[in-house]
Formats: sequence, C-alpha cells, structure tokens
Amino acid sequence: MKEVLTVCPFCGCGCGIYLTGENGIIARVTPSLSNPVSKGSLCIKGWHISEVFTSPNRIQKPLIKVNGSFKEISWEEAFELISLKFNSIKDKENSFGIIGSSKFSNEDSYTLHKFARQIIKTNNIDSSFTLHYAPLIERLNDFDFYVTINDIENSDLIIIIGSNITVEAPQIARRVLKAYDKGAKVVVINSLKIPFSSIASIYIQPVPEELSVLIETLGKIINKKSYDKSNSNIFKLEEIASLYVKAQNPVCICGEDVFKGVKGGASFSSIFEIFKHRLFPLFTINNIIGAISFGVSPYVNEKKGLNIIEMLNASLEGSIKCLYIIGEDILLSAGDYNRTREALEKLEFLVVQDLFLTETALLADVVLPACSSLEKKGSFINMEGSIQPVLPVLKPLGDSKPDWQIFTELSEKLGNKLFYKDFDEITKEIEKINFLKNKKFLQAEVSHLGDVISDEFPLWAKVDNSRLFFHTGTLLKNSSTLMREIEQGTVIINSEYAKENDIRNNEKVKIISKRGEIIRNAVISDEVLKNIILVRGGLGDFSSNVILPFGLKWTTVRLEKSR
Amino acid sequence: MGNIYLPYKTIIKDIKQETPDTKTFVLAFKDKKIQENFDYKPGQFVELSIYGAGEAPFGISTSPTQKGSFAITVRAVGRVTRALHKLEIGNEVGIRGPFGNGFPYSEVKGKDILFVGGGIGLPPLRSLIYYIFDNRGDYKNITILYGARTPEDLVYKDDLTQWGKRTDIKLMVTVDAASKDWEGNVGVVTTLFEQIQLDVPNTVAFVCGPPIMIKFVIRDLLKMGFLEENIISTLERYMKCGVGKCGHCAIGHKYVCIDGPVFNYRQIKNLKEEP
Amino acid sequence: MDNSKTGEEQMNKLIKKENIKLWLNEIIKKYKVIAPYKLETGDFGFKPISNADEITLDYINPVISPVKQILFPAREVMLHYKKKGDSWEVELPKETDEKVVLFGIRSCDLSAMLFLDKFFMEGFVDNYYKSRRDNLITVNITCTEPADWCFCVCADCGPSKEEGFDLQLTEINDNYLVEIGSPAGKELVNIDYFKEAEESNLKEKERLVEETKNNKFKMPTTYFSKAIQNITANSIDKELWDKLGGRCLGCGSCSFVCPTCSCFNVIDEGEDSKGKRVRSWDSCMYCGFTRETSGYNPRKAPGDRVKRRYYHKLSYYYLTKMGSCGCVGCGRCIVSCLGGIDMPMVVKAVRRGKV
Repeated sequence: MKEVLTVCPFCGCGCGIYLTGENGIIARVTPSLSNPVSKGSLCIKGWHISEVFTSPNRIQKPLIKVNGSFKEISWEEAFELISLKFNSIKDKENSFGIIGSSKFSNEDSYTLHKFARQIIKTNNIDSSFTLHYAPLIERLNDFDFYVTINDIENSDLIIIIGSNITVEAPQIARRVLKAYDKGAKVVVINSLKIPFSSIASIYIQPVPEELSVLIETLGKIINKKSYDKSNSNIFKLEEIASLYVKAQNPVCICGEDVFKGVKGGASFSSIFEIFKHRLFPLFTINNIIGAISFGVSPYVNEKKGLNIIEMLNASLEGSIKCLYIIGEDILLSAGDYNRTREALEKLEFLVVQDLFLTETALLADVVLPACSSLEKKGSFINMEGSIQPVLPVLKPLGDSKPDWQIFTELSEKLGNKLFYKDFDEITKEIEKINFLKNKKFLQAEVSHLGDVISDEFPLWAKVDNSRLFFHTGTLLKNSSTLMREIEQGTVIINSEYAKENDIRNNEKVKIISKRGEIIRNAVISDEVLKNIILVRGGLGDFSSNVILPFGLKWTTVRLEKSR
Repeated sequence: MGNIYLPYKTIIKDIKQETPDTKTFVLAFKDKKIQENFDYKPGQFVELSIYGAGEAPFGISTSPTQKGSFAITVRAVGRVTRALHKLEIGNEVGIRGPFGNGFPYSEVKGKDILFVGGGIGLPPLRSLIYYIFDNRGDYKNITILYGARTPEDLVYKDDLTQWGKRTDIKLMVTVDAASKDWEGNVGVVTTLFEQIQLDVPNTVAFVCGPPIMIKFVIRDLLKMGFLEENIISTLERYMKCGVGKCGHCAIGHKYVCIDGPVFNYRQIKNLKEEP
Repeated sequence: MDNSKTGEEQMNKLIKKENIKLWLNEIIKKYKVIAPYKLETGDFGFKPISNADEITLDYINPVISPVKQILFPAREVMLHYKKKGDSWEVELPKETDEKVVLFGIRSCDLSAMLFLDKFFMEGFVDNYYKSRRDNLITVNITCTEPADWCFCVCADCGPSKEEGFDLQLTEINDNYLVEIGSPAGKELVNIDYFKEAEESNLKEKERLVEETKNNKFKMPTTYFSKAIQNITANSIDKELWDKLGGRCLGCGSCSFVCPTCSCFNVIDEGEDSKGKRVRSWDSCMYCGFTRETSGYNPRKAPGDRVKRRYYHKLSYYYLTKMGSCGCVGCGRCIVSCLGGIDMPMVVKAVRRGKV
C-alpha cells in the first residue's frame, strides 16, 4: 500500500500526485501538499486517474491487421514484420516519417530522436508541438521560461490573451484567482466570453481576425510609438498600456486562441515582442515541451526535416510511404479530419504505438502496446519549464512496454543497437552530453494563415474541446465519471444571429466549412459575438475537427438547418 | 446482517410489450421463501441490477396483494434499461428493495380517490389501483383519468379494457392525438376534468406523469379547490443506491429514496425551493 | 467500538514521552497500527507501521483525512460478479476481524469520524463502513499547534475532545496525559508503562487547551451561527451563489478532502461475463451529479451546486439530523479549492450578504 510520488499525466501543469497501487489498480490519488504546482489540489481529471489507465480497453498485446480486423501476435513477430517493412522503406529518399508523443517521457523522446536520426536516418520526426504551438517555432531559440506558476500568484497585473484558463490550465486559474483576491487587476482579451471575463477590470472581445492588429497596436502604445487611433477598442488598449507600464510584476498569459487562432503567428509575434520576460504561454499537454526539447522535432539538426503537417501533405503527394506514430491520435488532433484520414490511408505501412486503440490506431497495419507513465520511470517538463521525475506505481499492463524500450529493441531488430541496456543508460547519456543545454533550433516558419470570411463562409467557428474533452478524448473515454461530465455536443449561436436566421434552441444545425460538415444541437446564448459560433465537443463527437484546417481551432463556416 | 447493497436473484417470468419502447417485466425471486416473504407498499420501488450495465430504480407496478411475483414497467432510455430490454424470459436479474415511502394508502381510507396518470406515469399508480381493488370496501368513489400522446403510447391496454368494464369505478382515457381507429376522448388529460363530478373536500388526488402534465393537472386541481395536502405526486431525482447514502437524490433536507419518492404537493413545493 | 464512557471505570493515565515508542511497539505486536509518518518530500501521510520509529506525531494534517482513507476509501469493491451458465455468481469481499488502531489522529478528524458514523450506520446500515468501524480503535491527539488554516474551535470540534475517542493523548511537559474513553482504549494501556494521572495533570491539560484556543489559532474567527440562520432560511440572494459559482472550477477537491463528505458513485467494471461493482468518491459539485437520464439537471448552474454544498454542511435541518454541523474546521477546503471558495470565506460572505 505504498504511496508513490509522480506527476499527473494529463495537462502541462504537472501536479505532483501520490498514487497508491494495489492489485493492479490505482486505489487512491492524493495531491501532494509540498509540490509547488499542486499544493494540495487537483483538477477533476487528476482525481480520476484511477479510472483511466487501468481500463480494460488498454492494448495489452501487439496487434496485426488481418483482413480488416486485428489479431494478437507476439513481440517477436511484431518486430520481425516491422523491421522487414522499415528496412525496405527507410532507404528511399524522404519516405519515412515519425510522429512522437507529446505525452511520453523525456527519456522516451530522447530515445526516439536517436532512433530517428541514427537508425532510420531521417529528420522527419515531429510531435504535436507543431500543431499546437506553431507560432512559437520561429522563436524557439529566444524563448525561455522566465515566469513560474507561483510567480503568477504574486503578480499585480495579469493580462490574459486568447485563453480560457479555467479549461486549459486549472492550476494557473487558481493562481490568477489568488492574485485577484490579493488585489491584482485582471485584463482579458478573448473572442469568446470566459469565466474570467467577469472578474476582468478591462475586457476586450475582439473579432478573431482583429486580434493580431489589436496586440500590435497595444505594443505601439506601450513603446510610445505612433499608432492608429481609429480602432473601436482604442481607449481600452490605452488603459491596458497604462496599467502595464505602472505594474510592478505584470504577467501575460496566452493560450489556445493565440496559438491556434487566426493569424496566430502575427499575434504571437507581437505578444512575444511586448511581453517577452513576462510571458507565460500555456503549454497544456504534460510533456509537449519535453518532446521538442529532447529532439522529437524536425528543427533540431543541421538538416531540417518535415514537420507533422508536412508529413501528412507528403503522404498525400505520395512521397512519404511509412509513418511510425507514437502516442498521438493524429486523425483527431490534426484537424481537417477527411484530409488526414486520406493521408493515413494512403500510406504503404502504418505502425501505431499507443495505450488504447485510438481512431488512428484503427487504421494501422501493426499496433504496439506502450505502457503508461504510471508504469515506468521517466520525467516530464511542465509549462513553467520544471523537470519533474515520474515513478512507476504499477507493473506494465499485460505485455506493454515503455516506449524507450520498444525503440531500443526495435533498433536491435533493424540491425543496429541503440546502446541502451536500461533506463539509467539513457539518463546518463543525456546528462553527459548535456543535451538540453547544448541544443539549438533551426530557424523555421510554419505558415498558419487560416481561413478568411467570405460570402460562402460568413461565420467564424471555433471548435472547443471543453476541459474534460482534453484534446482527443483518448484517455477520458475510459473514465465513466469524466464521461458523465460531458454533455451532448452542441453549437453555441448568438441570439441576434439566431433570430435573424430562424434558428431555435435545441434545433439540429449543420455546420459547413470548405473541408467538411458536422451536425450539432443549437444552444442560443450571448456568450458569443454575432458572427462567431462555438462548436462544443461532446459525448461521442470527438471528430468536430472535420471542419478545421490542419493545426487550427478556428475556421470559417456557414450554417444550414438540418432536417 | 444482510448487506444492503447485495441484490437478490430474480427470474424474468414474463415480458409484455406495452408500447414500442416500453415493456413490462414480471419478476419472481429465485428463492421461493424470499418471494413469499416479499412485501411492499404500493408506490415503493426496487433497484434492479444487470451486472455489467449497472443498477437503476423502478417503481413496482403490481399491488402487494398479488402474490407469487411482482412487475415493473420500463422504458428503454439509458444503459440499464436498454440492457434490460435485451433480456428474455428466464433470464436472471438482481433486485434490492423495496425502497421508498410508498403511497399513503392507509391514511386515505374512507375517502374518494382520483387517479390522474399520463403516459409512463401510470405504472406506479397501478400498484395503488390494484391494492384498492383488492380492498375495495375501504375506499369510496374511485375515478381514474389516464392520457397518453397517442393510442400506441397507452400502457396496460388490457388492464384499461378490464377497468372499463368495472361498475365500481369511473375510468376515462384520452389521447393527445388520435389515430384512425381511436373512438375515445381526444385531448390532454386535463380536458377530462370537465366531464367528472368530484366531492373535492373528501377526495385525495394521486398524480403521476411527465413533469409538464403534472404541472397543468395540479394547477387545475388547485383551481377546483383541492388542498395541497390532498394532492399526492412523486418527485423525480437521479437515484443510485436507493438507501440514502450515495447523495445523488438529496433535495433540501430530504432524500428522495428514503423520504420519498411520494410527497404531497405542499411538500413538493417546499422542497423545490430548497437547495 | 463503544465509545461511551463508563463512569467508574474511566481513569486517566500518564506515560513518559520517552516510553511512547516502547508502548507503540507493544501495540504493534497485537494490532495493525496505522499512524502518521513523514515522506521524503516533506508531505505527511498515514500508513500501517511495523515499528514505532516510522511515525511522527509532529505532522501537518494530510490532504486526505486518515479517517476517510480507512473507513470510506476512495475506491472500494462492493461485490464481484461472474456469469455461470444462466445465472450470476455474486461474491461479497471478505470481511476481516483484524483490529486496527488508528493512532495519532486529531480532534477535527475524530469529529468527522463521529459524523460519518452517524451517517453511515443509522437508518440503513452501510455494511462496508460498519465492518471496518467495528474493528477500529482510535487514539486521538490533543492539538496544541494548529496549522495556518485551522478553525476547529469555531466548529466546536477541537482542539481536544470530551468523548468519542478510545484514547486521547495530550502532551504535558515530559509526559503524555492519556484519557481513556472506552474499554478498548483501556485494553491498550493495560501495560506497565502507564501510571495514574493526577488532578494537576488534568488541570495542566485544560490550561494548555485554553491557551491554544486563545492564542494559537491564526485564522480569524468563523462565526457560524448567522450563516446557519441565513442558509436555513434560504434568504440569500441568488447573485451571491452565482458569484461563488463563477469561481468554481468543478474539480471536486472540496468533496474529496472534506472529512465529512460522503457522496459516492457506483459503477460496474469489467468484461461482459465477469467484473466487479465498485463504489468511488463522487462530488455534488460535478455538473453531472444530479443530471437525470432525460438530460434535465436540477442543479445546472455552478452557483446552484455551491448553494447545495453549503446547505448540506450548514443548514439547521441537517444539523438536527446529524447532531452537529457538517464542518469540523480542519481547513482542508481552504488549502485545496482551486477557485478559492472555502467554508470561512462562504460563511463570511453569507453573513455579510456579499462576496
């Protein structure tokens, strides 16, 4: 009945938790009081870890696709088949791609990076970092962690741009509330109304395509440059600038609607310029920073490789023949569901390594069972840049193995050794070459322009995976408590727009973008502006991404009544 | 000491399709002794277990005067009910109970009784109706008003035919929307009020059905002069354990599974105000 | 365990501090002892110990109350089921008679235990709780160093208890005063290390308790009575609850860390033909807690749920039903609420009529 201190595997806050493993299940989850992130508390996801990871839906043996359905095979057989196919494909120029997880450990990331570059000899390796934080990629060498989670609590001015913090990072929301209770001023700049809009002393609700101009103007005001005063929000911007200049320790928190919003690159660029040392971007996945920091990126070598979106496009073009996807349900996370599916189905060979049979895994030729972070040693980097150790509470379920071990064993099969007999060898090597410190990123730009309003698509639509949805829902689906908290998928429509277009509450509505369409029940509300709709994810409809472009949460759509 | 969470084995003795999505299941405890000793009050409920799917509460639709078996009427809307609908005669399910406070069947002896049921609200009332039939002398005038959306949605069609033949009660059935063959009343159940004569001060009304129907029926009953204490209905809340421990059905300072689900209208009004 | 004091038998004992560990090691030979210990991280927990050296009595209350940890665990198998032909084979978990000594809890947690005793063992008796409770022997420690967030005095639950324990220890200079609260407690001190306590020891204990109450608490007083009045009368503006609800992040932490909270969910886990029925902690602060199959939710707004929670804790109806209000003043909600909503804050808001 021993309590093991480890890190919550859900979001990027990285709460310290004690897990008690008993007879192959988690008997108890306790937040650590001493851990500087959790400080005795957890969000709903953390409290229900016990329901997720020991679910009977875990893949426990390697699987091979035979005549459209999966058959269990041994590791030997799986490695045999994979190495044969990998060897035949990898030597062809640029035909191989690796998509690593943003959720596995730093050690898994490092081993995968070595596997990609030394064994497969490709630079086409990436994680969902490019999907979620593309605008940051060109700033990677300038970026550092200046603000800690607990700094936020002592801030006197908190500017929140493009993020519903209560959903993206509960522990950050807690710090903001604590600062607010101590007298801090909160400023919110967000296209959608969020809970924190009500405690904000200044609240700007910009139209999506306007955000980058607003931030740019704010920057000009702060830096005493000349600026265009015709903007309707100019007084508020001037007030914000004034508050910022006077504040002792201001913090700017930016999130999903900046990184995955319209003209996100421009918005983020301006934000970075203004707030650099005061910036706290929300990295909302438990080890997305670890992934890119430890080499799961096409930007860490002399020669640039393909990023995740480029790999999908390359598959459609016919150059990439094989993808090895680990811990990422790319079919649901990439956006543009139909295009992604086409790209994956076109591959000659697809290997997926994961905990559960995700939508992506269902398309695979071979599925390998990885064990979760509750079953192995490792470390994560959280959103303030702290490296926290992860310790096993349970034995690997069934025949599952740690990701780093699978890469090592596979490399042996491919005729090379990756030189890691055990876990400690990996950490020793990382320390020895001081990997983190000596890493430099290539200059890169990821074009992420997004859609524009047109007559055919006159509305902005955001796909909102609510706090419980958590990205693709792979983990959440296994917890009945968490699933109970998700209501039917809906679309939130402004009341004025609804009136003008005769849409009633609870009516089924079709939402059409240039990429696809979905049907949802309408909820009439004024939490959205007139030309914005909010597609709320719900039970079973984890694929609202049909309408989205790659890597963005916003798109332009039109509505039609659904019969 | 018995475990209050341990279900007892029962066998499905009979299944009757009442409406397209509603079935009546006749159950009997596997252990004959338990079945013999199984006693309950009209209006009480049981918790039915289908292992793997879960547990859910259902009002008993038979009267305790009917021995040898009991019945529940179930509409397939959720996990447990859908699993139940897939079962067949001879299959085993688990039962815990009886729970709840039941109808005040003994307090209303000597009075006129008015039953107003809507759709799937008839099952719990049926328990009291048959109890009264089996103790007919204890009660005065009995009036049963029952309505459903369409003739297809009427439950207990055979019972209704039998009750229509009785001379010691007044039965009126109506549907919101008639079908070709329907010869009876058309209109919501409140339209039947104009057609009956009631001795209001000496009548107790039992009302069960969808929330909106209950709302309008009670409004009309109050207009007729019924005292709030003489209007008996049920309060619905999500229930899990049935024994007042899990907390899901708590409303105000009461637990629907212990202090209810039967309440009079005054109590319902007060409870609805409470957090 | 019967915690009623039997007048003539009740005696108070004294044990030298240096002998506590020796005494504990004797108890460990005969009982399973669960006691507080310090983890490497600096956090504290309760666990079964095999040697008295493992324990520390100088601890901060762990986030999860040891009382809940043992008597109402976060996850519990209620029964196992297996399909056998046409029938289902159902097995209840095995009960043990193993006596457990819960050593070193504090008055707040002890008070919570008495509250949970009443809840789980009156009316329908919860078998799982009762079988563990019947075998539990509690050794309470009088608190003389409250944490920054403690307010047990305001809830009338500490820092020392008059009854409800099997034994109560109070540190007095080089000794521990040991108050015997039950025959089971008496059995534990049936050993050479103890001598009779004097009247002066009892007086010293009273003095210590008074001093703690008057000088050591850092929280401002939480004045419960007006809050109880207003909440019972349901006279508080909806706006206040909505404002509080706006802060709620729906994490459920309050329900899990609160030692008197007892709501649970029951779920069948496993494959089609074999599995187990599990009960696990649930929270009334979760949106789906009261949602019915039809989709209707009587407590849809977060403010409604905050209102419900505090009604359950403070209303007069529950107070009379349970014999005490639902708050023991342990302060865990202050530590753990992500939204900064806690008992003292709500009591103050409800008294003043604004947040």
